[in-house]
Amino acid sequence: MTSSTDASLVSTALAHAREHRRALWDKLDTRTLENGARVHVLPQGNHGIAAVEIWADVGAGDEPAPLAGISHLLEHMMFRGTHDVPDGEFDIRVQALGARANAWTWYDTTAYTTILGADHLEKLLALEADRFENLHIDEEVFQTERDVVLNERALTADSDPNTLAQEHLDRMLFGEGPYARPVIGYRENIASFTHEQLTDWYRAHYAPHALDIWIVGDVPVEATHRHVADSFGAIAGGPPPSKAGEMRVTHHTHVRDRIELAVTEPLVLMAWGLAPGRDRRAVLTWRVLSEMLAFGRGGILRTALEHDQKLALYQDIYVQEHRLGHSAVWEATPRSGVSHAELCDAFYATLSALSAGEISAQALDAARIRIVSQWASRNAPWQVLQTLGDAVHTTHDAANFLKDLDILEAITAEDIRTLATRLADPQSNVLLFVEPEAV
Amino acid sequence: MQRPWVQEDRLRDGTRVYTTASSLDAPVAQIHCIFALPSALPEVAGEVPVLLEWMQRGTEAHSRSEIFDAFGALGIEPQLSMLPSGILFSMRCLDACREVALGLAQELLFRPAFEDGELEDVLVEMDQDDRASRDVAGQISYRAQRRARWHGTTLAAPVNGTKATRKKLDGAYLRGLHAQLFERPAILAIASEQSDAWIAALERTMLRDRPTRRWEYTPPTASYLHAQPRDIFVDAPALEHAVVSRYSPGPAGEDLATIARTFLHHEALTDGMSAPLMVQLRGEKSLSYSVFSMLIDRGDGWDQCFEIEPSAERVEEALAAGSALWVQEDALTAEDFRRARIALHTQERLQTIDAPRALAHSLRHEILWNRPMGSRQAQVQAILDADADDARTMGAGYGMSQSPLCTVVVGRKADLPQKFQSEMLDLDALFDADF
Repeated sequence: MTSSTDASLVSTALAHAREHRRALWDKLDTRTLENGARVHVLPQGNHGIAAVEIWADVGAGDEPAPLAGISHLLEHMMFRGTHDVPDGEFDIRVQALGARANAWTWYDTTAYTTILGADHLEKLLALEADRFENLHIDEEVFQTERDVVLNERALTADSDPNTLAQEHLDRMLFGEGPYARPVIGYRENIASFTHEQLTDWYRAHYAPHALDIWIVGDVPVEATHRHVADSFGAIAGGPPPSKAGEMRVTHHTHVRDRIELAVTEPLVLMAWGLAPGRDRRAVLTWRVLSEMLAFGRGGILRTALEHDQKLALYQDIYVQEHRLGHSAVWEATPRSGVSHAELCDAFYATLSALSAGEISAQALDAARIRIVSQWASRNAPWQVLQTLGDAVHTTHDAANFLKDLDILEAITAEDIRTLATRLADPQSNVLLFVEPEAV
Repeated sequence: MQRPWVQEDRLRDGTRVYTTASSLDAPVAQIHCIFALPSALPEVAGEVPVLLEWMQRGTEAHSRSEIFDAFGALGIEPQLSMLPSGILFSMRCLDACREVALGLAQELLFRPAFEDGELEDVLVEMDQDDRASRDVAGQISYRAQRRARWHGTTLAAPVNGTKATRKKLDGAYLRGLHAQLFERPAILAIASEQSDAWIAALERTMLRDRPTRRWEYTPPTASYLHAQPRDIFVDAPALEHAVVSRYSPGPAGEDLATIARTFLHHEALTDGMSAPLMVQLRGEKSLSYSVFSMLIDRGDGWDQCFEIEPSAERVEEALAAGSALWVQEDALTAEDFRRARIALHTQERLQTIDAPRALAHSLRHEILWNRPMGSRQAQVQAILDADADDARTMGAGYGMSQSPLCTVVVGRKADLPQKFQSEMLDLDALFDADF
């Protein structure tokens, strides 16, 4: 073939990525307020834009079963007014700063994100601090927002058989554990939440010690810290919430199920439970292997199952990073006339061959260069912020922002072979067959 | 006037070249190469997507896996896709891999293997893919909107055609189409600090020996003229909610002042969580989690589109509430207009924060409409300068205050109000029947 990844290309790309991340890292200035909130300021660029995210250390993984979805509903309510800012006013005031506010909830984190002209930062921080201290959960507004979330659930899950299949797979893999339930919760959960439950959740989980405040972009360090101290620093501290007992994760293996959903084409979903997010070598070994198996229109699985054997119409392989145990999923649509079992057997055979064969340095380097290339293109302030935030929240060590590059370089063929051996073992996974509903 | 974000130049043969760079750039270039279509109206619906898919099943020298693994070894995932009146080849590539990557791109684009067995495979896969897209609300709605909006032209067909139209395509026809379309490209667009080196390398590799281009790139404007929009209602039994969209006429022509007033009104009414559209439909009435509205560029004018996803029984209420806002005289205050201006200003800065984004923004607003570089900045300045009262008056004169172009409702028939239940298309009719 006309091209291969030569080692010098990888080392040049890695060296540049290291240099680039090191330059950012050296400018990152982290301080802790007296009330326990951590503030991270990173000056980057001269474009007049700042990205601000406030990460609360709570997510769906912290919820007991009856409260599944409450973190997400609280995220919605955070836009619905405080004791000083009436319902509807928050967005008006944010937009008056030229800013666009949004938020997301995941298993370990709830984050509030804003991108704005850097000259309006002080006013934005005052608004943010206010809602983290003085949220007013009005009963009538709460009912309205709950209906919005029910509509979101209907839209993004109940009408989407692929999402329903993914939810079923998570239950198979995580059993009754905290990562088994969907972030948005179930319809019956959402409908049952009370005003009091939501208020308690807010008080327990949004105290300053649970917050990481990130500001990346065209901002001066000292003045920015001053603005944060003037706003968030004024919030009274409190004891950290106990997470003990809620946070144990068990991954199930060798569970099989077959369900019918409103899909037109059948679907195969296979999942594995893996190490916690802080085990970077395990997580990055997965990243490298998944790049080797399927990327764009190439990869070992695509060649075997789609191009050569023509068994699969579509495949995807991805990792979901969780703080307490990430998971990996292979998803495939068999071609017409191909059975689930036939497709799975071909998957196991391909992984067996990989684990038994020679893994060349070039194949490893090719996967590495794709990963580094993806990282290098995520350079806007809000993307840098996201990477740093993940390092803190998912891996529990901001320095993984730098260390990941060394770990990526250190992954060996043996690491890949070991993981491939595990994937080739049908006993190691949970497996879901999704069939079209009978008419 | 500000210096445009993107610079325009021409090669000796007239190929348009656009370049940009910024201080935030990594040593990764973004390259776009656009081949002009003679018309946005295809002879056979789906012919270009089928051709593009077949092209990506191996080259004269290498198998499908080999060519993409070779790109992958350089960290590249090339993209080949159809635009309304062009074909776009894009890749993100480390500067260090430039020469090898362009050699591979030349092979992929100009020397496909075109094996007959692979074409059969492409057609089988596209049929199955079509069936799978019936599960996705957005896909159903997108197809229905296309069919409603472009009724009377071949644009009403799904982008990939239908099973019946694809059956008309044989190898000889598609090989001829490839020879016709892949002459010298019409447009090159490069985001890199090394754009001169990229252009020189493109001349040495991808452009060398290409036949002379027989037509220039033209925006799809003329293709839209013959469309006769009509309403379409689709029965989607598995949906737990409805998807409703309405298209209305926006301002015609290219008068900057008119466009600016219209835009300012639209921004103030619809953009962001604090805009009246979102506040009323989501915040106050709980009609929908998602509310979406946009002014759609047609080159010689604009269409207004508004989309919402309420429960099926609230479809009429959602349409009425959304439409009413446009004609409500006091819907917008001076403060709403002031906020809209600030938000627009910030959004424009975001769109141009680094070179790849600035280039993509220019492609959307300038390059693919054959407009001069800097025209988007002039347009934004005019919007920022537009008078609020003028914008309010203009707002009442377009969009929902006029007869809609078309309304599209997708939902479960039994749950929808009676007026939508007559003449509903089922999914077979939407996906497979003549358009």
